[in-house]
Amino acid sequence: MNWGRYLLKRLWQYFVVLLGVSLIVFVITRLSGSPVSLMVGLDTDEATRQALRQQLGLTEPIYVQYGIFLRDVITFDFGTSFGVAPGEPAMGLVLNRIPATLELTATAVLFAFAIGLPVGIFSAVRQGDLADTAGMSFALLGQSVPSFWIGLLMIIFVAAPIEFFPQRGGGTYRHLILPGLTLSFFMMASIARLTRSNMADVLDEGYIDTARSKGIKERTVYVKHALRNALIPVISYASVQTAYLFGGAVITEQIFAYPGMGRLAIQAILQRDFPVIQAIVFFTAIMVIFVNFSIDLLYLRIDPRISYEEEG
Amino acid sequence: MSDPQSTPDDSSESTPSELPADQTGTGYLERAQGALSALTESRMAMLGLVITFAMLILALGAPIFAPNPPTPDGNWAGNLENNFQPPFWEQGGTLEYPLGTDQQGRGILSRSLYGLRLALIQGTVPVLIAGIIGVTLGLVSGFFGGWVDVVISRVVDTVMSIPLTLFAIAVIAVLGANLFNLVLVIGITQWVPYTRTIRGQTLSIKNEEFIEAQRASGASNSWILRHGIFPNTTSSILVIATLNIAQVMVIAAGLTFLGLGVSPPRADLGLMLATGRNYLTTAWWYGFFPGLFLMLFVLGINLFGDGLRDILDPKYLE
Repeated sequence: MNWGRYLLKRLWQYFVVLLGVSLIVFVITRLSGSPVSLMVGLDTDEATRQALRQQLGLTEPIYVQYGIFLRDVITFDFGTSFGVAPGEPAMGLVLNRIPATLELTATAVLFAFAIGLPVGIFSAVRQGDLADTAGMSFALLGQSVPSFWIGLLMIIFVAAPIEFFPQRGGGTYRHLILPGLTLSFFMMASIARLTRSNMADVLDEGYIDTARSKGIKERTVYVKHALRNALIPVISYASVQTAYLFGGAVITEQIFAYPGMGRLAIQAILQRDFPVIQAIVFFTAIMVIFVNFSIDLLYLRIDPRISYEEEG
Repeated sequence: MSDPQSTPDDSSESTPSELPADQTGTGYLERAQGALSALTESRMAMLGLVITFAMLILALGAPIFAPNPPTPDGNWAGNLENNFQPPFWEQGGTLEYPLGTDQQGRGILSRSLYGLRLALIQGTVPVLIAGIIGVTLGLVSGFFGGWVDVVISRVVDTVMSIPLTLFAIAVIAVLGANLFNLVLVIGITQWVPYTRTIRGQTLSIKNEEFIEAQRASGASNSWILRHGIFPNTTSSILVIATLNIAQVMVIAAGLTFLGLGVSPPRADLGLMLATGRNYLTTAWWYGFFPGLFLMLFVLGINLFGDGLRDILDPKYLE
């Protein structure tokens, strides 16, 4: 199977996934009861309600309603907010918040790789050393510490005493450092552990010995030969973690009062603003899929051996 | 979640007595003993076990250990005169409230201990739900293949692309925030790792000779699934479930932190952290100790689970 067909197949799978997401969102919306009662006051008469129902298509059979919902979703029309910012299109509210959340998650990924990779490599090269034990203890701790607790500790011990780090809000790079670190902790720890175990495996392989025997410098062996091969599972792991990261951002944004999508989600839920919640869930799914697809493309470059035969 | 036609019909339920035994299951006792001795040799795993046990005892014995327990009907009698008392080693702290008090004068230590009990429920019940869903889907998906497998795999992809937190927000917004809904929502979103792993194992086990032999002796599909394949996946299930308990505890506390779980005045670690967040600069102990207890519990389970994985599952899962 050539890579063009592989990509087409992946695209088809993503399409099915999006359809699944739309179905889940639709079901959740319908579980929430009639949107009409949320949109109008208690004293509204039955005729007005009925007119609104007709206008929203709620009198149609359920599959027609799903069809209407799909049509709206495809045109990115999620309705208007009736809680967070009454009258505003839900779509626009969410779009406004996306850049801030993307900045935060990108910062977190950056920290995770910038710290996790070296710790993992170092531990693999110095297996059994004190450095290895320290690195892996740190990683295990990182996987066990609830991120929101880390966030609170950072506020207590870093942001409160040091004025450079703001305790809340967003807008400048300074606002990104502590929330970014908080969000990255779990991923950082996982990357460190995964890199270590993969590096350790790769270093045992025959071609590493061959490279060494050819007189190639140790450092070159580690970086060019071992790391390149150890990196693939790490990237695949990072891709699986994307969804987790967007979820974690909700909590991190809440801790640092960071004005992103997650904070909007919390505000929306407190006011039962369903159009906004729907739009957020949908957009997050699209972003997760986009990231996964980009990583599919990245694979093509990194690993020429990868096979695109039938899989999962 | 679309559940493709549960298990196939069980008309031939009568179990043929002379069916070939599950061969990898022979010498089960010896294997268990081997695993146990390997476990005691792993220092990290033992440390994990000790921490986990200590936290379990603290959680179950909270009514005994708590210096300022709630009244028998579950009310926390606060004393506003004592609010924001620091831990005993700081100036103004007393041994009556060893880790200080909160905004209503309730003891942080006592509430944290009771919080551990809720954490225990929040960690285990979702894992039970997720395990049952995930293992069933994994077995069915791997065993039957074909369109059943395709459908389940697409459902897995779908669930993996919706962040759990957002899904939980959407669902709990509709159903309402309480312990039951919290545990339920986490349970129905955590089954994916079980399905992926068990599906893979089923794929390889179903071609083993002893399964062929069972089939040849006329065993039904459902019998083979339950007696031939399932017993050979239990060690993986055990490993995933152990590590999953730790993850789920953190997830539950995180959702409660966002106001999607237990509501006041119940003593919940996530809830205490959420309230403590408002007093970080004036009463650091409020946001610090509940998190410390949670972290120790999770760390203990993670250490133990890692050790368990090294012993039972040499191949790295997930």
